[in-house]
Amino acid sequence: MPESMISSSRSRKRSGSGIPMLYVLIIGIALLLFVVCDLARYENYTGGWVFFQSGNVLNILNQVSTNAIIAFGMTLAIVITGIDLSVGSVVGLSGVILCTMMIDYGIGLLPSLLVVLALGLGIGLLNGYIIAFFRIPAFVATLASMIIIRGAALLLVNGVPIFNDDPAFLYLGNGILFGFLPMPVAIMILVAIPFVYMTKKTIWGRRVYALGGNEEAATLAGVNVFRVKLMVFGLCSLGAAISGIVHASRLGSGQPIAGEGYELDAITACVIGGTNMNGGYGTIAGTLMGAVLIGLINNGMNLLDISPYWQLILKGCIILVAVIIDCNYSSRRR
Amino acid sequence: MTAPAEKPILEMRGIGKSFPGVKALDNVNFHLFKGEVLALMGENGAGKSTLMKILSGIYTPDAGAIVMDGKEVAFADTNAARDAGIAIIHQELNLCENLSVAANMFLGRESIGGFGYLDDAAAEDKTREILHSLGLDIDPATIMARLSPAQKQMVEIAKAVSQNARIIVMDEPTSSLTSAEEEVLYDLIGKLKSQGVSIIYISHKMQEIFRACNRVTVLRDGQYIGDSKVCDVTEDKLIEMMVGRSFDNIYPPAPGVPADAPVVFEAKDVTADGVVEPSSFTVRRGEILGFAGLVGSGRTELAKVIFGAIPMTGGEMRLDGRALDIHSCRSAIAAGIAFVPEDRKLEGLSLDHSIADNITASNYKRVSSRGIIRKTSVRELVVDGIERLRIKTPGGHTSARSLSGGNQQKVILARWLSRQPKIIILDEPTRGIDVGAKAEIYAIMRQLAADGVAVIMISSDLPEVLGMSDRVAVMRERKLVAILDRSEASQESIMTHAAGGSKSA
Amino acid sequence: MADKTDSAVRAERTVTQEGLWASLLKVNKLVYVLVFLCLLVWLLTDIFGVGNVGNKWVFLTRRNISNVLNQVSINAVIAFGMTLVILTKGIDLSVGSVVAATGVFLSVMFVDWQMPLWQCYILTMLAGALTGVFNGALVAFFKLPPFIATLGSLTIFRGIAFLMVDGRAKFISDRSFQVVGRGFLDIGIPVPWAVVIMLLFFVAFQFLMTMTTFGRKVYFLGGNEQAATLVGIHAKVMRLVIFSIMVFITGFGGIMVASRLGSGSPNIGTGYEMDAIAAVVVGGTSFLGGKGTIVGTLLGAITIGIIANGMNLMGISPYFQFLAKGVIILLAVILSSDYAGFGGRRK
Repeated sequence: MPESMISSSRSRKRSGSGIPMLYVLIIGIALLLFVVCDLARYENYTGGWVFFQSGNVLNILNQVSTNAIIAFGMTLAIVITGIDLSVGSVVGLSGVILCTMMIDYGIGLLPSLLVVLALGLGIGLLNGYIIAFFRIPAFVATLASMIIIRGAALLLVNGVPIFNDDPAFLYLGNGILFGFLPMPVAIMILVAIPFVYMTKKTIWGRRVYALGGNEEAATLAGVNVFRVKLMVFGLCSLGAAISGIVHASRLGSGQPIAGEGYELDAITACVIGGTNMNGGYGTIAGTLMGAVLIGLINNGMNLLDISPYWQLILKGCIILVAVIIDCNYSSRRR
Repeated sequence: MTAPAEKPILEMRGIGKSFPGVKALDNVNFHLFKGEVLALMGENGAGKSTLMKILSGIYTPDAGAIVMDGKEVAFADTNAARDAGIAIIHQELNLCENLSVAANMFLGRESIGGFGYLDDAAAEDKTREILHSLGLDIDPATIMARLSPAQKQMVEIAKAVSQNARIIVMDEPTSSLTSAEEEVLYDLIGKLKSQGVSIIYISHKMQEIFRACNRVTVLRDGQYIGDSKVCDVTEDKLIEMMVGRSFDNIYPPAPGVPADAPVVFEAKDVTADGVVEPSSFTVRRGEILGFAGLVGSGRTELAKVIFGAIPMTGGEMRLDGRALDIHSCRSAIAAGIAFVPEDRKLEGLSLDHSIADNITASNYKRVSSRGIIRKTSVRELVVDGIERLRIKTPGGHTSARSLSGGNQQKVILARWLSRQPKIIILDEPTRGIDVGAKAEIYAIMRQLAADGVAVIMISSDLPEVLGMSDRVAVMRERKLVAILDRSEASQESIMTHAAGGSKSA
Repeated sequence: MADKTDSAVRAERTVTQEGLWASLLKVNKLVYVLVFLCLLVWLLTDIFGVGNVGNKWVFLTRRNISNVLNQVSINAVIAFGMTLVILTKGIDLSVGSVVAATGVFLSVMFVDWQMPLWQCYILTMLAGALTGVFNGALVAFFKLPPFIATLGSLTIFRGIAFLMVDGRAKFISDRSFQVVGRGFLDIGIPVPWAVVIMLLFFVAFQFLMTMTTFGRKVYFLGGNEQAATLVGIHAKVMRLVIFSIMVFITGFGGIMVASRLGSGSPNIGTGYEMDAIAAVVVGGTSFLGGKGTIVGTLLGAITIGIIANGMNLMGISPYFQFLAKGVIILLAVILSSDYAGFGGRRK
């Protein structure tokens, strides 16, 4: 009898990250758009369907990619109850540095890329160090580094964008692989794979979640909390640097003000994707879906000719509704 | 069961440890044999947790030596202690609620494949094996948050076993368990014992000691008092060892309540769905009503329902014969109810704020006119509180964090007493408080009762319940099951009602 | 008996000190920093003439000081509200959008609807307060993390601002409209109206936070929400009121911005939330809740302003100034953090 009290008769769902709900939403909205944009208005268009065609679908992914690449790292930062506000500035700085190196110093693309990536990682490690060592809330620490990095980007080029027409550089953001796959989407997938692997399948990923779930328990279990924090913020910034490279290539220039507000977009993608602001829960796949959902909504609103002003209002409402559902009606405890 | 001729596997000799202003441990001796369950007893502040923190490498002792298997050892940190085979199961479980059982089991020592690959399947298999060997039916893939408190406790124990722990310290392991779940724990302890694992069992509850332990070691005020086989002692003897000479005079004399004393507070079938089942009781003028019961029996919840912190879904309450309409803490306070919560730090005080701020917190109306603070009234209120309760502090501006447990409790009392409440509910009023401050708080409670305040005291400390209460209400499984007069109340009668038959669904 | 009276005397003495001295002493640190900074900038610009072409003083002049305060005023006003929000462990990211929306609303009423100015002001402030109730309700009743709630409303308010004027700024040439942002009050010396307003709000908030029960409740709520509920503080209502005050005062900031620019522009205000948060943080308010003062926030805003002014006068690139601002915030936070030497850990 007592034995039965201890048995786990409750459901064995593996996680409470709310992804299924998200898939339903995405499919639902896609269907809705298909009906509204394609079926209902079919006769008005001569060029066939506008929403449900490979060009448009890839277009959505392409638009989503820079945000998603940032959001992957942001997911980890939020999982460990942190946040990184500096990613937008890192986007600006990495584009500026890449273009300065290539144009002003005539350094090749590859070494420039390596320097930018290393710099991105370095900035993140520094963020993590400040947060972990001084035990400052990540919000304030990265608020400060956001301003510092933006200032550095502006200072470096004196506020003037640097144009770069190197074809290899331009290919990164505008090229098409295999005749159909836009480079940014390919890069997004390439970044997503190690992130998924790390979070799902490695010890390190497990420790990230442990830290987010209960920092004290993780410490007592011998997890090097300091190092995990450092790595998480490092990866977050590294993602932002990659995104900055793609973004700069797309623009064909290093813009010191590029990426302003990107941190909020990335956070939105994480939260809609089921990452909990209280830490511990959130997946890369969920975040990707969150970013896709936002892209889908943007795309749909564009196709439906909704005024950009109304788009802002609707987007805000959708964020709020998504989070209200997540906070108040999810099965998760706490 | 134990072979006294054997050498102990663990010995702590002459351990001493001081903190600024406090001598937490003084020349404490302690030994543990293989495969025994040793009860470590003592009041709060007696030094049990300090001793265990030294054993687990969190503190280093100022004096003395730890000897394991005849060799002297020193633990630099928790990892060193763990490697030596010592595992501690804290009262607040240290588990990651968002991870699976298997992940928690192997956190910090996951099996490593190439590229940091996490072998979840292997971890789950190993976990299943360990859980099975302990007779536990828990799926290793379940997310921790979905387990019951008892199951979480079992996972902690299994985790200790998986670390090949030879010594497991259990700190109040039953504090969140129902009585049926306790039985499972005792079974598990029995299994561990037969596997040669030694267990140090920390608990305040007498019946558990007699049920689960072989031997008992008692500490008091940081000193080793003695140890004995459980079969050789009686409860009274143990209490005397724990409390010492002050046992007789710590409780102020109860004048008794006249039979015709008017009923001040009456609760009739007070219910809160899923939390408190219909419970009725009365408190008469000048009476201290003690609430006994196991942890988790719904006493705190009932108090919170009365105080409006948990919504009441049925029944009624009357104060001085008038019906009370309580729907929030605010209305309860307005009606003259005061509540001293169980966890001072979590629910009572704002630790970084001053004593003055903490005392004023429930008295804003009194120290202000039209929303504007009158400094003189604040000063009067705070000085009066500090003086009346004899709070030991350099002044009202001192932060609450810097006070001792007893003085923190007095700050909360000062807050409520200045409102001149009609009913005061004290939840575990002396938890973590030293004997001297305890006596003072008991005296205050007695004085309040004499002044005509209805005093409700919740306590898990049976001697305290017996020493202070004019009547004792006993709760079991979210329900008030008995009210005993002072004459019929005894540890046995209370425990009989509190534990009931071990019939439960 | 003797020891009782002794303790009473001691308690009495120290209670009197509480509040006034404790808070002043704490703020003093920043006062020293401010005085030091002023001295430094004064020495560099006026005495050593860094970046100073003429021989005249440029920093320590009535005109420049009034200029600094004028520039600081709008941020300070918003930061007063932000102090309350951060004290209760909240955050408001929607500041910039509210500034834009209220400015636009004001100019639409004034220009398109031809309403009298005072009515426009009152309606704008009312609209601000109502918007605040929206934010507050999201946090208090829908239990959203303040960060996310205000992130959502940030987007919505910006959209509304654009929508009201179809994305184009509305210019106002009327002189009376510009008084709040650009006018001067002559009290022997000309004082910018914006500075007067800042000081009025400072006095009001200082009074609110130190002298009223509301202020005490805010602090206690920030210190321990569970305990606050158990002493009868209505946490939800408090949150609602705090966010309403926040947006109300941000709306006032919006009026000042619109008046200063002479237009209601839907693009304005990006980054204002970060400036306000920076002033609050430099002013010593803790993100962990319950600790912080209005005086600190005022000094924080002025400190940031003086540094910007000093660098301007020295001809330092505005981009470098950006960088320096970030460093200052970081230093301020590190200095006020719980960090106490290696491995210093406090719970």
